[in-house]
Amino acid sequence: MKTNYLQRNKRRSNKKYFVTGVLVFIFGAIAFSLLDGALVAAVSPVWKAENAVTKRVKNSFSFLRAKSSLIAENESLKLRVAELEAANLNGRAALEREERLFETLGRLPSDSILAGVLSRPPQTAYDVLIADAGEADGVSAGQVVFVPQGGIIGEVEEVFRDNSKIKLYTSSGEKVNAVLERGDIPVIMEGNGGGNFKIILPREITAEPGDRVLSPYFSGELIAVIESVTVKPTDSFKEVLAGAPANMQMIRFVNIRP
Amino acid sequence: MSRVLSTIFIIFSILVLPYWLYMPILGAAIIFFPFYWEGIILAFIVDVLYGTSSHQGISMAFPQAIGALVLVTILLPLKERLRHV
Repeated sequence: MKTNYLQRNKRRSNKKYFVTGVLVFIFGAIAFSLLDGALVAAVSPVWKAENAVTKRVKNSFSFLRAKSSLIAENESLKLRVAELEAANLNGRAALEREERLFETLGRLPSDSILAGVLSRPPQTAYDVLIADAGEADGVSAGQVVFVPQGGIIGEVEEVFRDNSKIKLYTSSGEKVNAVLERGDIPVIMEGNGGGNFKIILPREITAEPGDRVLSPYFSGELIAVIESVTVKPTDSFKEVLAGAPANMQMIRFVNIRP
Repeated sequence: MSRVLSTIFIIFSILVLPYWLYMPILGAAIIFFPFYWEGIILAFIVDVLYGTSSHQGISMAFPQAIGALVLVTILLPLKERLRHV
């Protein structure tokens, strides 16, 4: 068998490339640590333009849809509007009761900051949202983020002058304290990525698809809705999969609350 | 020239395409081009734009950049050996 040995100068050149790679990494780590805010600010006009173009393209293509499908969609939307109007009336009454209760207890919810979402999954690789509100708008790290329809989705992780990064609770490995509405049972939810959570519960605890999981805060906001429950006959625990209150890939606005 | 154009295309991909498209494109560029050190910088851009753990140390803050560095350096001797077999 013929064996080929690397020439000495080839090995030396590989070593040279390796050192160059490490130097590029060290330079990058220092430079990008210092420039992260500037880079996000520089890129945000591109994201804004992309959002505007996507919206315009979607609107232009809507003309091409078949008339029959538009009529069917119109009918189903009318029904949905009627359902939501009824739900809204009930909800408004409940909200007024809640506000009166909070007022009595001196725990009125504080004002929120409405922010547009510049970048969202799957564009962002780590279940992160980039919002167009930053330090200048009163945003600070640790503030809780809601979807406008209600429901907590994450917390502000990094703040720049005009932008902020929101880490979603569904980020892989992220752990969140919550309360299972059915039975008021405190649970720990683990982010599973892609807008999903995993909860491990003792098998005696009842959990059904459609059950709500609420935040442990005083206001008890919605964090997730249970989608499936898996239990094996031999296991003493059951695995519950829950989904975030909104589709993260479609989010356009968020509320940031202190 | 193709190297520069590819780098520009990957930057554009990072800004507008989903991660499951731009990450394989970046990986392919690192494999295709000899000593694609630009890949490390591009991975830093991904980490800085979309990562959130900048205060948790280098390994947590720049996982993609570390991955790119490992891939670039591992491929050096590997490509050399493949050429000699």
